Parts: sequence; C-alpha cells; structure tokens
Amino acid sequence: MIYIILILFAMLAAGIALVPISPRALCRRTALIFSGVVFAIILHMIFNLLVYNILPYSESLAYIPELNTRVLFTVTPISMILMLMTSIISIAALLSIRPILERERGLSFLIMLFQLSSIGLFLSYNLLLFFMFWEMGIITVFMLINIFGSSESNNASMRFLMYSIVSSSLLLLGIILIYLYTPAHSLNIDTIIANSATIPYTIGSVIFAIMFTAFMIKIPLFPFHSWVGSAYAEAPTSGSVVISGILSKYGLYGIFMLFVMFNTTQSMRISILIIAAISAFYSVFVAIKSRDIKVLLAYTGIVESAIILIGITSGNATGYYGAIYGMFAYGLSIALLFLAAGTIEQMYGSRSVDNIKAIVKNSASTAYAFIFGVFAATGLPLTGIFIADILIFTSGFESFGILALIPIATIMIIAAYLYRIISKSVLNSKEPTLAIRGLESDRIFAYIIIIAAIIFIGVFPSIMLSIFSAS
Amino acid sequence: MINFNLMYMLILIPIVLIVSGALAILHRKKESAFIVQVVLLIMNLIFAVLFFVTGGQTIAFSIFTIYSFSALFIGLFSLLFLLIVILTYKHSMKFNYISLLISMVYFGAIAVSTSTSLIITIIGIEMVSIGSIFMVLFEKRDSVEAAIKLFILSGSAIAILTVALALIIPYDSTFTIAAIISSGPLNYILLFSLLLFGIGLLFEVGAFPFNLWIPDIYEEVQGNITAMLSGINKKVAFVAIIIIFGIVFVRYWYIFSEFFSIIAILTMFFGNIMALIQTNIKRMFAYSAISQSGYILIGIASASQFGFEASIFQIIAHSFMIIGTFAIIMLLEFRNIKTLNDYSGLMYRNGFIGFSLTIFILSMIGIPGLMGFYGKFLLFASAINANIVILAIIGLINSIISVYYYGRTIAAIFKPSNKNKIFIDKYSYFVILVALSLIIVFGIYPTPLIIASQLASSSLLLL
Repeated sequence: MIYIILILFAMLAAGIALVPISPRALCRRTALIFSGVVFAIILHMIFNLLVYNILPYSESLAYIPELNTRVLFTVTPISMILMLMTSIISIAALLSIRPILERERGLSFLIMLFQLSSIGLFLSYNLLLFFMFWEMGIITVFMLINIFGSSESNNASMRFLMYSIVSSSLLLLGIILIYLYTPAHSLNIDTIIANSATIPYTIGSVIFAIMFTAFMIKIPLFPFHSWVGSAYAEAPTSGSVVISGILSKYGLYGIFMLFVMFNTTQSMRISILIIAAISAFYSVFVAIKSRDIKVLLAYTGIVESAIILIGITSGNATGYYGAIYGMFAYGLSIALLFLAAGTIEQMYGSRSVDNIKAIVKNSASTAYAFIFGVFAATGLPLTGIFIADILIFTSGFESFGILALIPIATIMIIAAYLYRIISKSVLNSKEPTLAIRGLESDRIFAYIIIIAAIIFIGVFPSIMLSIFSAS
Repeated sequence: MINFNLMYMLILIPIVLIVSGALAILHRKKESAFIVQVVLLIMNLIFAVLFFVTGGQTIAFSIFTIYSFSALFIGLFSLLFLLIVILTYKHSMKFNYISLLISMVYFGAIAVSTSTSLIITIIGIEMVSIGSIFMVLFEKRDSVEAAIKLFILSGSAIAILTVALALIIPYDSTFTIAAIISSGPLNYILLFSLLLFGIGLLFEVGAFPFNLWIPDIYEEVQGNITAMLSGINKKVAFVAIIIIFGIVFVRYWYIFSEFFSIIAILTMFFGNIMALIQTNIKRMFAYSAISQSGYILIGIASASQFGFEASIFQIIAHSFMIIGTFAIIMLLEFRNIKTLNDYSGLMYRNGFIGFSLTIFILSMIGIPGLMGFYGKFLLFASAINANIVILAIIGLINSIISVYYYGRTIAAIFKPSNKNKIFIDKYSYFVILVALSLIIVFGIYPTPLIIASQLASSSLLLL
C-alpha cells in the first residue's frame, strides 16, 4: 500500500515509453490500457479511503539537500478527486482520437505525457516539484496545439506559450522569494504551512500577489485572457478536451494551495471576489458575441472557473468543499462540451455557429451529448454541478453577504445563449447541414464515460463529501 | 602521496600535449595526434576528478596552485576539450595544426584556473586568445574577416588587461592573487585598475559594449570552432573574473557589484532583443549565447559565496548546452541548412538531432528537469539574496523574451515535412550524446554538481 504512488507513476511512465515504440495500429490501445490501469489504481485509493479510512500516503525521497528539497508526494482529498478527474478526461480524450485521419502516435504520447504532468502536479507537495510538473504541462500543451492543431495553430500556440511563460516566471519569482524568506529555507509545502506565521507581512503579501497573478494568467481571468480563445479553438479535439478540463484547473489548484499556505484577510478575499465577478461578466458578454463555437465554450470555461474561484475565496470549509466539487464537476462538463464541439468541427469542417444546423440528424449521440453538456454547465439538478453551485454560493453568502450572489446572473446568461444554440443548431431540423465525414463508434464511449461520471456524482454526492470528511 | 603525483600530472599533461601537438605538425596522418590527445585529456579528466574528491591544496612548479576550484575547472575544461577534439578530428582539414592550437588553448585555460599570480592569469588569457585567433584563421570559410575581428578584440582586451596589471603595482608589487588591502579612502588608481580589469575581461566574455563583433565571428567560422569559442573561451574569461574579483578586489565588492549589474542588464537585453530579429539560426544562437553570459554576470554581480556558486553552476551547465547546440548547427551547416525555414521538419529528417536540439533549447529556456533550470534558479536566488532584486526581475523578463525565439525554433523543428533524411557520423553522434545525457542526468539529479560548485566556491574564498 505504501508504494502505491510509485506504482502509479510507473504505470504512467510505462505508457509513455511504450507508445512511441509500439506498432501504429496499437499505440492508441496501449495508451488506453495504461490510462485504464491508472484509473483503476485511483479508484482503488478512493475505495481504501472510504471503506478502511486509510488516508494520506506520503512518499518522501531525498532529492537536493542543498536546496532543502525533498521529492514529496502527498495524497490529500483534493488531489485524489482531481486525479480522478484527470484520468477520466484522459481516457475520454484518448478514445476520441481518430485512428487513421490523425497522427495518433504523437497525440497519444502527448496526452499520456500531459496526464503524467497533471497527476504529478496534483500529487506533489513540494514547490520545486510542483514547478517541474507545471512546466512539463506547458511544454506538452504547446506541442499539442502547435503540431496537431488546425491551420492557424502557429499564432495560437506562440501566444499560449508567451502567456504561460510569463505566468511561470512569476511563479518562479514567488518560489524563490518563499525559499529565501522561510526561516528553514524549505520548499516543502507542509513546512511552509507550519511556518507561515514567520514570514513578515509585507513580503508575505507581495509573494501572495505575485503567485496569485501567475495563477490568474493560467486560469485565465479577466485581464490576461486573450490567449484562451485562439488556443482552445485551434487545438485538436482530444487536445482541447484535455486542455479545457485539466489545464485551467492547474491555476485553480495553485490558488487553492496559496490559500492553504498563507493566511488571508477579508479585504484580500473581497478583492479576489471582485476580480472573479468582473471576469465572469466580461467573459459572458464576449461569449454572446462570438460566432465560433469553440471560442464561445472557452469563455464559458472562464465563467465556470470564476465561479469556482468564488468558492475558494470564501475561506470557509463549505467554500473549499464546493470549490473542489466544482473543479471536478465543471471540469468534466466543459470537457464534454469540448468533446462534442470538436466532433462537430470534425463532422462539418467548420466551427461557425450560424452555418451548422440540425446536428441531431447526422449524429444523434453528439447532439445529445452536447445537450447534456449544456444541462451540466448550467447546473441542472442530478448533475454534480448543481451541488457544486449550491455549496459555492452558500459559502459565498456566508462570507460576503448578498453581493456574492450576483455572479449567479452569469450562469443564467450562459444558459440563455447555450440553449439558443441548441435550439438553432442542434435540434433545428428544418434544413440540415450536410456532414462531410462520419464518426467511429469509439466516440460514443467517450461521451458515456463523462456523462456517467457527471450523473454519478450528482446523484450520490455523499461519496464525494465523505472523501472530504474522512481526512 | 596521491596529491603529490596528481598535482604534477595535472600540469605535466598539458605540456606533453603541446609537445605532441608540435610533433603532430610533422606527421601526415592525423590519427596518432588524435589518439594521443584523447588519451591525455581523459587522463587529465580522471586525475582532476580524483583530486577534487580527495581535496587538499598543493603548488606545482611554484606557479600553479591546485585546489578544489581549479581541480573542478581542470576537469570541466578537459571534458569540453575532449568533445571539441572529437568534433574537430572528423570535420577539419588541417587537424594537425589545430591539435597544436588546441593544446595551447588548453594550457592557457589550465593556467588561468590554477593561477596564483596575476601575471599567470593574464598569460593564460593571452594563450587562449592567440590559439583561438589562429584556429579561426585555419578554419575560415571565405575570408579572413573573422580572424581579423577576433584579433582586434583580443588584442584590445590584452592591452587593457596589461595596463590594469601595471596599475596594481603600488598595491601588490608581487602580483600575487591575494586580497588588496589599502588603508584610507578608495584611491583612484585602484578604482581605475579594477575598472580596466573588468573591461578587459568583459571583452573576452562578450558583454555589452564589447561584443558587437562576436556574432559576426561566430557566424563566419566553422561550427566546431564556434563551439570552442563560445563554450570555452568565454568560460575561461569567467574563471578569470571570478578569481580576480572574488579574491583580489573582494574588499571593494560594492563597486564591482554595481558595475557588473549594469553590464549584466545591458548584455541580457542586447542578446535577447537582437536574437529576436535574426533569420540565420547560427547568428541567433550567437546572440543567445551573449545573453546567457549576461545571466552568469548576475551571479558575479551578487558578489557573495552563493553568487559565485551559482555562476560556477551555470558556467558548467551552459558550456555543455552551447557546445551541443553548435555541434548540431555545424552538422546542419554542412548540408546548407541555415535559416528557420530550412530547419522546419528537422524532427522527421533525423530524430536524434531534432530531439537533442529541442532538449538543448528547453534547457536554455529554463525548463525544470534540465540543467539550465537549476542554474537560473540559483542565479536569481543569489541576486535576491544579495538584495539586488532588480537583477532577478530583469533576468526573468529576459527569460520571457528569449522564449519567443526559442519557441519559434522548436515549432519549426516539429513541422511535418517530406524532405530527405539527414545522416550524421558517429563522432558527432557521440559528442551530442554526451552533452545531451549530461544535461538530462544532471537536470534530474543536480546534487553532485551543486555540491561541487559549493565546494569550489568556498575553497576560492578561503584561498
């Protein structure tokens, strides 16, 4: 049981190593097998937690004693839930690779690599290790958008790279400042939590501001969001599933860890709430105007991230539970929406909302998956997002009063334009547009996996909540 | 006992090398010279590592002092010269002459690392420069323009260094490398001498106002000589800077710290901004090598033990990166692949070259997991520790600027293409493989190198 984290990484590493050398017909299956094994291991860990109440596995190996760094992995509830989300989304993304038409060896390799960096990021309890997996994720996504993206991907990927490198430089600055100003010169997060009172207040708030800006660029939030439209739109289908579901959670996880490491005052929290609200409203208005379905969904993702941020910034336990729940549920829902949108792009060759009509005639599964995704994104009961919304807005109301309930309006506006798209493009059977190519049957399994997960946590929220309370 | 033998070996071997190089000119065949040089360099590398591990301090021939710092650099330069000799053997027409010149430059490098007297330091730099000038002359492609430019640069540098040396006479009449203690307020002669030492060595390093010809030189000479110029000549000059400013002028750290900060800022910006607009990839990497020198100057500007440790680590890291990169560029130049368009599709033409160039570029960007990241981390941490936060912030801004042209190159490497395959010979393969594996291995587990830099830096300040 103690070495379960090492086994997890070994399975991932085996998957990554075997994909380039297996024959072309099998490389996607190899990646799927190893992702499945990883998913089984994570389910096993959750089962152990719920039934036998064995929690954190902490692996610690000496790494660089001069910098006081250890390889430190700790399984906390939030990391377990995010790892579960990562493996579900990765399996769905691998299932959505089309075997003949795309270069599946490279795509499977990059998706497995991104899965490794995400799981490593969520498990790592040491800032240097966190930074290592963060950069690995950035480079992997850059290659995913650049090499496998559509025709304009050069511009989109360079813009993504520049924004991400700015954010990781700020993160590096913050890490160096934490290293120099903790008395123990340590980068382990548990030591930082124990010593957080000893960092002088001015430096502490500067570090918090720098790292918060770095994570804000990655989520992205209002002033730094211009990379998101082009990056998500030009990525390949499996790429955008993985990027939208997981990469935005990198930033949110980072902000969560910031709140765990440092003490925050109410005024800081109110300003973060205002930033989140401004981002939500701005993105909603941009989304209404856009004619490209992937750009629209990208801005919807920003709104969802802003809502999760409201949950984190409330500072009480309900808020944290709501944020973690929301990261899982919203991640799955936006991944499903991007999966459906990517399929629509592959079927019709175009991403424009005006030109595509009556998707339900060509591929019923895609149409219903899209409709379910819209249900999920707007927070229909029976989906996990409903419970996340309840928890987040209750905690917001407890902390900030009635003003925290204003962002609920953004959810309503999302619902408005998404239902409009459904009625005009998905279900409108007057003049169906002709599809230019069909789909394989594997795509349906990808939909089913994500939809099942969303419904499962929606109908049985007690499982997730008992994970939190068991820690 | 072991110290006694090793110490003499470490100095005898370069002398044997020079003799063997002189004899090599008389031979027609180049294999014997090659084998002798490789064997002697490997022996020197092993002895240097052994000496470093056992510690201690000895004086050979009463001029060369071997202690941890110098043993580290003797080992480093031996390994680097081994790579250069292997590259040059395969790709040079006049290997016999080049081997003598390599021995001369090697001896100069060792003289600088083990110097206890300022005169020996200056002589070492002269030997390095003169050897390089002749090497550039031999390996020229079209004209002697590169050799003339290098000659004028090195000549000015050595002239300025000699004046600086002369100005120290009132304070240090035996020219030994020991801290200068002058009572009373700072004398202008001493200040002038400090400044001139700085300027002379910055000529060699390639810092801002003195490096305007360096990209021209690097572009016009063959790739393996560029690897030597950027990988070794610069690092020898850095070793001289660390010795002179770390020991001789250590009491005036508040002056040279400011001086080097300004030069570092200007150098970094110059290198990165000029690299953005280059179309020739070799010139682009020449400018990026200039900006990497700027990063190393940050560590020297911190003027603390931590700062010198960071500089030593980045010196080791960057030398392997740049030699590997210029080896690849040399191989591609032979096939007339020079601009960014020519580089497109490199991964599919030769997977090893594409992969290793990507790793070298990622290491220069500062991706964790590769050696360049720890260099940058230590450098910025030492700058903030020395309360020069502005240097760390400008270093990070320059990292961001550099990602643009590095990312452009990586994107080009992975573009799909149908061009014909590229095959490389096994000597170049070996050289690139050594550089690549060192960067990856020490990137994932940097502890031995960090301990080595700490030992070297602390032994320097105890001298």
